[in-house]
Amino acid sequence: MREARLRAGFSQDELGRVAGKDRTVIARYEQGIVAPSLDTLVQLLRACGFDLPLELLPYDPGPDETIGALQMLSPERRLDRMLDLRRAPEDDPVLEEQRQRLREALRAEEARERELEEHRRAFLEGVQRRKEDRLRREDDRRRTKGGD
Amino acid sequence: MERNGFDPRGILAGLARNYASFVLIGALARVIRGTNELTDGVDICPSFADLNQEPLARALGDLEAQRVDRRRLVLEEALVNEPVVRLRTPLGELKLVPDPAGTRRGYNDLHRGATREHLGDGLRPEVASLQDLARMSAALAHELANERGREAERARERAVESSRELRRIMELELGLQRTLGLERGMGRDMGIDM
Repeated sequence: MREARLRAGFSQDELGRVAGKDRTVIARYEQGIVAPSLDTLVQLLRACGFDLPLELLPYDPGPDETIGALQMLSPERRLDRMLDLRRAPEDDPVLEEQRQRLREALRAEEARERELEEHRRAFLEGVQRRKEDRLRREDDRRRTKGGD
Repeated sequence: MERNGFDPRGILAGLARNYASFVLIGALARVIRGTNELTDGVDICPSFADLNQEPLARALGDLEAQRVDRRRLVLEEALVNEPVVRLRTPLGELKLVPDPAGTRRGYNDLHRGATREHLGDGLRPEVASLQDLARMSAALAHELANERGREAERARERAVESSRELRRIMELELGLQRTLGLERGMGRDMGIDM
């Protein structure tokens, strides 16, 4: 909240006036003494000219959290966990989306490789053609000289 | 057997029942030590002792192991001449790495720090230590740094990430040991047997 207020260039008093709240209430929110409700938070942020989009995302613990959790397991359970993860259910929508993305990425990579291969072939053909032209020209020149 | 044809316990059991000496290394060892990754193969560093040749050959026969490149497997020759012997078994891939990156004398080097870990079904293979696994990952990343190509780049990234993860686990363990040591010290100071 403080970040939004400072970015908007408001003092606590000014924000309070714009949002219809007392300056002391704003101060308490910012100091973490009182937690505003979600509606109040969004209202105050909007008064500063910002928004707080809320979106549901799958929970993704950070690497340290995962490692910490894995350390609590026995080696046997760690192995079981890895084998369980390998047996990903076919109907998991998140995994299906990732599978789809992977397939698309692979297709794009294959297309890029094909394109590169075509460029490579065209380049080699060009080199070959130039080489043949040069040889032909040299032959012609030699023949012309011989005729002279 | 696990789905997708990978049964690491089956492979380790095949090696154990034939008394083959080895240290478990690679991604499976890292998973057992606590990294968050997936693997579909078992990597081992076998002992080079003469006494191990026969049990190892017997275990590979028992596991119906065949070379991935379909050539005939001549174990002694492959272990001396190849950095990695890639084998396919009905239970999953098995790689023999006689001299893993970052180690000095393969098995003898790793055996010192390795510990036996319970993996269920009565299996207790020797698993390379966290320090040795981190050392191997770092050395592999270094070796791959000079190689070109997308596959080598991906393998290098994986090795760097593994080495980082292993270091984080080591830090966590060290922190835990320090805390326990501190608690023990505090217990002694207070005249309490902790």
